Amino acid sequence: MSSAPRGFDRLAQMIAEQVVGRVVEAIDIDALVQQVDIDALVARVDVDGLLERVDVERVIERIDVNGVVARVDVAELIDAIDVEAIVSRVDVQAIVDRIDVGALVDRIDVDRIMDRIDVQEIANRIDVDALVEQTELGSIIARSTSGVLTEGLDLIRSQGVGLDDFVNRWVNRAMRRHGEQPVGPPLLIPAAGALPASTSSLEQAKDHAS
Amino acid sequence: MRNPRGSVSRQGNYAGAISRLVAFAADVAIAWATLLFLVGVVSATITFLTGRSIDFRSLHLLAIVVVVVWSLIYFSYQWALSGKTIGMALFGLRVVTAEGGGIRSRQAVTRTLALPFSIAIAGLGLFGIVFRIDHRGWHDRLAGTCVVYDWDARAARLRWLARQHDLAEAGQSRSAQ
Repeated sequence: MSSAPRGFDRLAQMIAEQVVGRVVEAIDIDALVQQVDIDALVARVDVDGLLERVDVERVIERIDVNGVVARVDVAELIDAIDVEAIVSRVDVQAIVDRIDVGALVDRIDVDRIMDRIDVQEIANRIDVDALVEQTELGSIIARSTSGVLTEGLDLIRSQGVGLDDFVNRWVNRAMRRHGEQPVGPPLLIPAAGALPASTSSLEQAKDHAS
Repeated sequence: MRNPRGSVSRQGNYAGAISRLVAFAADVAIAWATLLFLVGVVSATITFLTGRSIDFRSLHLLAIVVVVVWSLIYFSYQWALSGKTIGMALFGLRVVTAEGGGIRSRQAVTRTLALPFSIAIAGLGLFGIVFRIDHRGWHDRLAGTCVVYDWDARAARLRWLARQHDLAEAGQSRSAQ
């Protein structure tokens, strides 16, 4: 009983293999594909249903984001962006109009900023000599403060300082003074005012030469 | 004139021996001049009132006392008042405490009284003014004082620069003519 159907099945299998193989060889796949209406086919697909069945979270978890980012050429991406076009589309005036400058200024701690500014350093960077020499400020100062008595005092005081420096220089040499020395009382000259003897001498030499 | 550029940074520095010596000489001259003037005024007043002239040269002891008292007043009063005498003001010097503060009347008097001792013993007490870093003599150390430069050298520097500026402009205008 069972041997007859088994033989039939084997025969059918052989026939099918032969027939299908020949049919497949005979089919012009390109012609067949051209006859398929893909749009109609796609229209029949329930994409929403398909997507509902997709576990998006799992898909995302499987994506190697770092790997993707690493493969992105950021420089090329930036080059491709037309920044000028973007900026030109921004209404800067509208943004500025929306800023409450008063409130912004109120939030600035001016005292803290001032504490961080070294006014002395700024003052030191001003070339007062150039300012006086190259501007009318010099003439104004001369007219407002000059006088025969003032000039005379400037002269004798300067000469006195020059002679003091001359004597000090020789005394320092004779007494072999090196290193930092206090140049004045601590309340009048801070610790930073203490100058190395050599520096002081150099300054004094320049001073005397001038 | 010497360019006072280098003097700008000296304000508050210990004053050197030469400036102090010249200022002291000026003070001595001024003290003598004012004393002679006062003696002349007193002498003239007495002569006017009594009709008799007084020869102060014969009053040695009185003359010495007057000179000492006047010197004491001249120096200690001015130092106590402003830390500087007329001579020191001329040379831009000021007496301050060893720390740099204003001196008190007691220090001014001590300094005045100690000054003759600094000078008397062959000037030994003045050696410190030349050789010490802080330029303090015996009288300074006894009174707890020192002498510093006090003149506005920055203003002097600006005046000097202003004069150079004016001279340069005058030269340019002359050459243009």
